[in-house]
Amino acid sequence: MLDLVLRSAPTATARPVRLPLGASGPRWGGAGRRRGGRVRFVARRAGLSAATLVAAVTLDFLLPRMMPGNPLASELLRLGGRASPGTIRVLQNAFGVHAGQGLAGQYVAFWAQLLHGNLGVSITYFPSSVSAVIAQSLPWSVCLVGVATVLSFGLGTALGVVAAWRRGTWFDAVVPATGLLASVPYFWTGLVVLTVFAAGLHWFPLSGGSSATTTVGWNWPFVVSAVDHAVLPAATIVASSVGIWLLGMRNMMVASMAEDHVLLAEAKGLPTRRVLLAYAARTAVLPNVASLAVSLGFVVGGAVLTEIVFSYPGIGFVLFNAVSNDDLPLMQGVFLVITVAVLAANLMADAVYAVLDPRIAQAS
Amino acid sequence: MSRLADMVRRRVRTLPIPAVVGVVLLGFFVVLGVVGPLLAPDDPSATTAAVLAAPSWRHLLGTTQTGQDVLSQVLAGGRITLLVGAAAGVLTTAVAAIMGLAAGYLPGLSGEALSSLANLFLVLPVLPLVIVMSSYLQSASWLGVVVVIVVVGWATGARVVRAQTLSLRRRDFVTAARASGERSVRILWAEVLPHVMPVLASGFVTSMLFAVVTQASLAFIGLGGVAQWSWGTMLYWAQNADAFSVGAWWWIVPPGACLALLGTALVLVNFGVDAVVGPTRSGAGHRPGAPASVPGGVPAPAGGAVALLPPGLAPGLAPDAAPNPTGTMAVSVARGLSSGTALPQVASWHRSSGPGTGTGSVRAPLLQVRGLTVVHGTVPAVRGVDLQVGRGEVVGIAGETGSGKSTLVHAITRLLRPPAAVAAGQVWLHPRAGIGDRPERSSAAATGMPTAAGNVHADEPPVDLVALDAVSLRRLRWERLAVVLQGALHALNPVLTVQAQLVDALRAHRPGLGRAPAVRRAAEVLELVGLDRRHLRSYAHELSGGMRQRVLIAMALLLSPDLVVLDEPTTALDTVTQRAVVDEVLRLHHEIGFAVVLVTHDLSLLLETADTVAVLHAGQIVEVGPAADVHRCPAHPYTAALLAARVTAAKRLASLPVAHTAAATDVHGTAATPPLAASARRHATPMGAAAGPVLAADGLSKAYRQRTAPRVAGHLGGGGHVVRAVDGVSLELHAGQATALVGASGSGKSTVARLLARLELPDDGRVLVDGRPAGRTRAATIAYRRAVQLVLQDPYASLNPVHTAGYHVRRAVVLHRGAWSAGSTEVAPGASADEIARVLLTQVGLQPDVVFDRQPGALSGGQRQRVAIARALAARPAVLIADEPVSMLDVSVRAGILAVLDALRAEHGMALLHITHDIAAAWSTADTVVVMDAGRVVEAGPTDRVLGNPSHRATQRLVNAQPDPARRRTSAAGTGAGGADAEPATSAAARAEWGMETTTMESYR
Repeated sequence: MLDLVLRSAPTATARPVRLPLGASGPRWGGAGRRRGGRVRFVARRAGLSAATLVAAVTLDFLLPRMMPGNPLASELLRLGGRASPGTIRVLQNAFGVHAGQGLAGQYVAFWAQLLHGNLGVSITYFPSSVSAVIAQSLPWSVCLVGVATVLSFGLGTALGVVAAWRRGTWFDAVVPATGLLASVPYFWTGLVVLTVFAAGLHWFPLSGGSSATTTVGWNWPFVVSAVDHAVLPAATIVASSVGIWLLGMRNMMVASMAEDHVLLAEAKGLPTRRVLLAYAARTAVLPNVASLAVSLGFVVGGAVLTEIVFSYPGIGFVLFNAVSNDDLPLMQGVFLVITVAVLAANLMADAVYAVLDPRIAQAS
Repeated sequence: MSRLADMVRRRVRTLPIPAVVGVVLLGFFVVLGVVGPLLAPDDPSATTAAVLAAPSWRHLLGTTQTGQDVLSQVLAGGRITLLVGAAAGVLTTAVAAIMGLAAGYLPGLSGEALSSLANLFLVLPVLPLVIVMSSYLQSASWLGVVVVIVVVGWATGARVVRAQTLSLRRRDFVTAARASGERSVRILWAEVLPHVMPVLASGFVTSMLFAVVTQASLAFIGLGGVAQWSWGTMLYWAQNADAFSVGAWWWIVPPGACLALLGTALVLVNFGVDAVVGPTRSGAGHRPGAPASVPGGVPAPAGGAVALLPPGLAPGLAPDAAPNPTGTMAVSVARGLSSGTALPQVASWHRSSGPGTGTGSVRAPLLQVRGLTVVHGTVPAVRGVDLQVGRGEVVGIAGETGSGKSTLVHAITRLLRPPAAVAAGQVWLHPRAGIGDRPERSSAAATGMPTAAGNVHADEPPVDLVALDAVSLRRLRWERLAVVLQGALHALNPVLTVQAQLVDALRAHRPGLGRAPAVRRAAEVLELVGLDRRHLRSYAHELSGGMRQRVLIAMALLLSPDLVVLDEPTTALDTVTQRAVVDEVLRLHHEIGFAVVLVTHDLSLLLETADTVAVLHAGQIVEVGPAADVHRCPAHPYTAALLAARVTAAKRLASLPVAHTAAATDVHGTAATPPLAASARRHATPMGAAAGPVLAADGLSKAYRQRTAPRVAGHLGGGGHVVRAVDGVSLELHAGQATALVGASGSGKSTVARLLARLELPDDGRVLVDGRPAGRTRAATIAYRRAVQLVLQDPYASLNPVHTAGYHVRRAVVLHRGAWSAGSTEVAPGASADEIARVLLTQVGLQPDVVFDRQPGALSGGQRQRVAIARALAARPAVLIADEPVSMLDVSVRAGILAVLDALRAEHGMALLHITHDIAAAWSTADTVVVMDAGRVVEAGPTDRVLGNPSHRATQRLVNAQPDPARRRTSAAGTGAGGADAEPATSAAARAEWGMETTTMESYR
């Protein structure tokens, strides 16, 4: 979530800018050709995402090989006698010290392993495989951060519309207030919330994703317990991110309300609600929607700090553990999964944008 | 730059309170960072026996689990946080600026590659990346953290800077700088960077916030060195010691509160940054037709005597005086003649017969404006306007920039937005006439449309629109009063189809109407304005300017209103399309019978089309009367001046000695000295055609990818993705001669200008200077620019708002210093660039002392265009290309600019290429005319022959598109009261052609 906050920092000038990378399309023609333009636009972006993915995998491949010292030796030392010959080979692959193979050969082998879904073995959670660790922690993050992000987006955007419409009233005071909330480091917000509501008032549990007495699955006690455990972290995330959505929406809305087509809609005698929603908000919400899609990509990465503060069993917490334990295979795997998710979300944002904004097909 | 500093200083004084709080807070933390560690009462790492002690006098903020003093840690911990924040902020911003500028400005692949790199970094998840990277820097000092932050943080800013640079690169002032001969690096540094500064300033604060939070986060999870005391480190130890579960709030709250306050300070400062360096309205200036923005209190340089000169006749300062919404100059005209209080006297200029008598029949009133006064904040924009519109009448309101005409339209239609508000007056709308009274309705309107008009009766009292409640107002809107806003590009919703925007108006007023009949009606009105019904499914961006305007007119007709208000409906269109749109409105007016209020700056158009003409000046109506009367004998001097200022085909500038004399009087204070007589003629011998052309284009061709040629859609019918914007164009320019290149929008004439100015290189063909082809090296380009200079169309865009008028001219002088070194008698040998710039400003009729240090925002449109001309003159060019030099200017200053160009051509013996769609302007200025259509030259020759007796259809169309008051009675249907025989046969024929073609208008665009 840190990324989310910092990516769209609350400034009036630095509005979210989406720059289509030169999509070509016919200016003229019926709906068919127009759709063609949109498809071409998305296809172009997909190509770009694929290129980015290759770059990210390559980075992932190179990072361990650029590490100083002899990381493999320290990893083996950490495992002690528990490492099987297979594990050692996996580690050797990861660190690129496999005898008899050049860098190119290692790179090909790296890809081959990836394509087989083999991300190696975790050292922290030995002997679990990296994929298993990720598969176990991912749902927690997706549920917690996903729901919180959508909630925050909905709330912030709606408040932004109201804030723009009610400009010049007491509602103006809400805007900087939420902005200030976003500038507070939320691991600290988390700590304070824990101190008050968990340690102090005992309203909510202190840590974890669910009560230890429940079994994970679709059973009532577990769901109740999971929701109970998610309230505080989710509230922290919403509180610290709602201002970003609000501010973005309000700024765009204020700009769009001054546009002629909104004036004309009013002159047409349309009901205020339609003028506000179909004309002013409809165009203003576009950047926010695109940001939402991207934020949903970051959901997969979990909210690292929030999960650490609340000891939430999500993927962010896993990454933290991997880093604290120098668990390179796990770090690599988590990093890769997050990158893929973000790329997919970006692509989704482009697709959504192409649907929502007909201009995109011919933008240059 | 000192101006910029002044501006910043001025705005800092009016900083919003939150920003002041932010600055003070930030200052406090900076001080804390510097002296904090010295103030710490204890060694922050020293352990004591007082474990987890609550705050006391000994330990003001309590102690940690190991008995360390929390206060000392807080005091000591600020330094690292601020150091990382500041260093990372500066570095991130610098990297973002360099990468963003390069990615946005570098052409082709290198720019693309840089932006792809930024995109790659943008999709990498930031925090995981930071964590992973930091884990590689195990023993990282704060410097390592800074590096990590810069690596992951630069892309965000770079992307914003790139977007800004990309849009700036397309701005006219960058084009103008290129055409003037500036190098790319200089353009980036001096022209682009100042406009990116606001983004960078705000980006710096944002990066610093990012760095502070990231540093704290890293420290909090134990990365980046837990041995160094920082607020994040304190929280790390607190978290590790489960401080919250034992209730040691004094350990958690102080460091967190410091971080929160620092973050808050940065957010607040960012608000302040926007207020101080954000884009200004005065910097952008205002355009004709836009509501006047106030260039803060710039006094009109002209004295009272000059102000009484009729605008437009003096190409000097008087008519171009900085537009002043309070109307000091205007008032002096009005008052000087009506002696004293403005309001009651103005009425005396109204014709005694009153409005509605134009056609000889007494019309029942439909709209009556009574004493309407509108204020923008405290500044009056419309003052005591009285106006009456009869049923089925066409009332024209003419006004120049800042006259308040848009404000008047918005007041009448109740669309004023704060701070504009009606201060006094009423707008009475009379009830709908009985069925019998109503002029015949169109057949289209009678196609089984359920009407909501049952509740309106003829004997109802009129309603005051100003005082009407919201519900009644909404019911009445569009049903009775429709409006066509100026700027069709923005008046349509970009993300809704035409159909959706037509249907929602119908269904808002006819709740019972089904979807299918609504769509049917929408298609009907589209066809009514000559558009194919397939455009129902189009979005605004898929339509040309003329088509959009038609959609807006169709929209206005949806509910068959009694009154349609058109606000500058044709400003953004070229003359041919303008003519078509106006004809369309008048045809519908005659067919359907609605009344029209037509607001425009184009007096000629009104004289031709309106029954009654009202002239608006400085917020007041100075004259109202039947169009013919106003045309024949204007009663108010301002109207007379406006009429005289029109550049019409009938008068050549040569026959306007007044203009020259006035310029002389204005600039030198004595009529005896012609403005340019003192200057030496560069080309001593006037060259005839025999001397050979100074510039020749030989078979120029240029093709664009389809998407970059929006206006020439008509040529796409043949398919293919390439549009030949210019196709084998040849022309010759001779010294001392004026050539006009005319053509409708999309005919390729502006592309020719760009090719001749070497802003682009032709695909095919050559440009010859003095018979020699132009080379492609940097030296050859500079030499070329010295010979050929360009004046762009829009003076509101072609001057960089951050630089002064003097700067623009002086830079060009410095660039072309060589042109001034030898044999110049205009300036003393060894004159400084400043002195030369002043001479040049004088030559274009400006007073250097007044304008030299002014930014474009403080100059009027005409003054700006003069500055642009002076800049072009600085190269002492042999050829001056003027691309639509007056089309963005008020009518009253156009003649002055054209006169300056004409005088400069004559005095310097330059070849002048005047590119225009305005036949009258071409006629009045050019010796020869070249007509372009669809990328080709279709006709060329001496002006009188080509324009007087046009042989090509495209030329005829252009000639006939000119408004011509003499033609009004023939175009007004039915009332053929003379005028027709005065017209040349060709235009009558061409108009017949128009009549035929109105149904297939799209084929033109």
